[in-house]
Amino acid sequence: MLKQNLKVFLILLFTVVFFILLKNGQIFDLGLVFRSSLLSEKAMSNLLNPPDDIQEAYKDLLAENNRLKALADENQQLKDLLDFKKEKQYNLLVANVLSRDPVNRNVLILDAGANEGVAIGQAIVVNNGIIVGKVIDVTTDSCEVRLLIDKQTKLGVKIGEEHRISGLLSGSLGLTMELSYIPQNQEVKKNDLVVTADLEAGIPQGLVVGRVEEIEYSEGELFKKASVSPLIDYDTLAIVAIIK
Amino acid sequence: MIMKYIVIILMYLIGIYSFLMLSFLNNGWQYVQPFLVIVLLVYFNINNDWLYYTFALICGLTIDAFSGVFGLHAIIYLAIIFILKNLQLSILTSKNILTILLLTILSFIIFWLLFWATNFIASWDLYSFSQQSWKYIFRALGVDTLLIILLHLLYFNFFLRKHVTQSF
Repeated sequence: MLKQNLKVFLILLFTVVFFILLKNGQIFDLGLVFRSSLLSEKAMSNLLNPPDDIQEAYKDLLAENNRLKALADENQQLKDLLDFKKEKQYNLLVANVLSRDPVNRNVLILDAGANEGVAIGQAIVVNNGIIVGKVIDVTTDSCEVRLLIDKQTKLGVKIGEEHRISGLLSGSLGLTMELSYIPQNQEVKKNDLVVTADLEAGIPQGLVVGRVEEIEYSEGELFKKASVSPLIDYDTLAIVAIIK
Repeated sequence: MIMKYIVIILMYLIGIYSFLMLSFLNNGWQYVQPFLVIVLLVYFNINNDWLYYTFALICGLTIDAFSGVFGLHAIIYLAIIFILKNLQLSILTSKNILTILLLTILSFIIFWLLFWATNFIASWDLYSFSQQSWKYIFRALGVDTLLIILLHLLYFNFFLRKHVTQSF
């Protein structure tokens, strides 16, 4: 009976010890040692000794990832321009934005010039036919473009779904655009689309400018005014197309 | 047969409930050991070695789940049962109420002695052993002993005597 008692006590004592080792993780560690003994030396070495240059490799991969993302964005922009070209059958010349004028940030410098057929007054578009500016100066291999948001820009436009309402668009504060000379009797609503009119030689009609934001009018005035918000962020322009 | 196991499970649940309730109290009531009470009650009234040893193991592991040193209560409970069984097989062979009383007091002395030893050797102060706490320990010892004797007598007089021929 004493032996039986001792046997039961020892069995359950070992059970408790097993649970303690399990809880503290020693059994897991033992399993890890067993498992590592079955792995090849090289695999074990790789597991226990990660490469020294892992930080450098991570930084390189991060930089490459950013570069690939930029390439993907550029690819998408070029695809949009290609679709626009196929749809409208325009003669498009793709150009990169080299820099902005240091004095006036609303003037861009592109890497296409007179030797590629660029001329003053031509329209600059992005994506699916959104006009962003006009060529104002040309050299042999570069040109200057004034954005629509520049205060010196003037462009004849049409407003609304049926494009019957005319107006004059000008840039405002380098951030947005203003419509003026809208006849008082013409109804202009918020979110009406604003497109180019067929008034300038180098600028085809129907290019999208922006959307009407706010309308101002007073009874004593002959014309209404409206603010127009651009459809893209002018600060992120990198690839554009010139309609020749 | 099934009734026996149902009663043991019920006692276990009562033990957990009592332990959790007592842990909310102050003034030393947390020194009352409901799990040790039920372990001893099961030991005194069941003849199956495996059953009362396993019950002690489970109770010990349950209380260890709430304590900082896992496994200590379980080992101490097993040690107490082992010592009591050896005493009952050698010196204290009768099962009268005085023996039960003596073994109960001895169990609690062993319990507190072992915890004091672990505190002294390894600084595992699961229970604090200040002058104030010794008063609470003695008070809890009295409460626990009374509980065991009372419940054992109730069981003996209302159940065991009626079914004295039935094996348990």
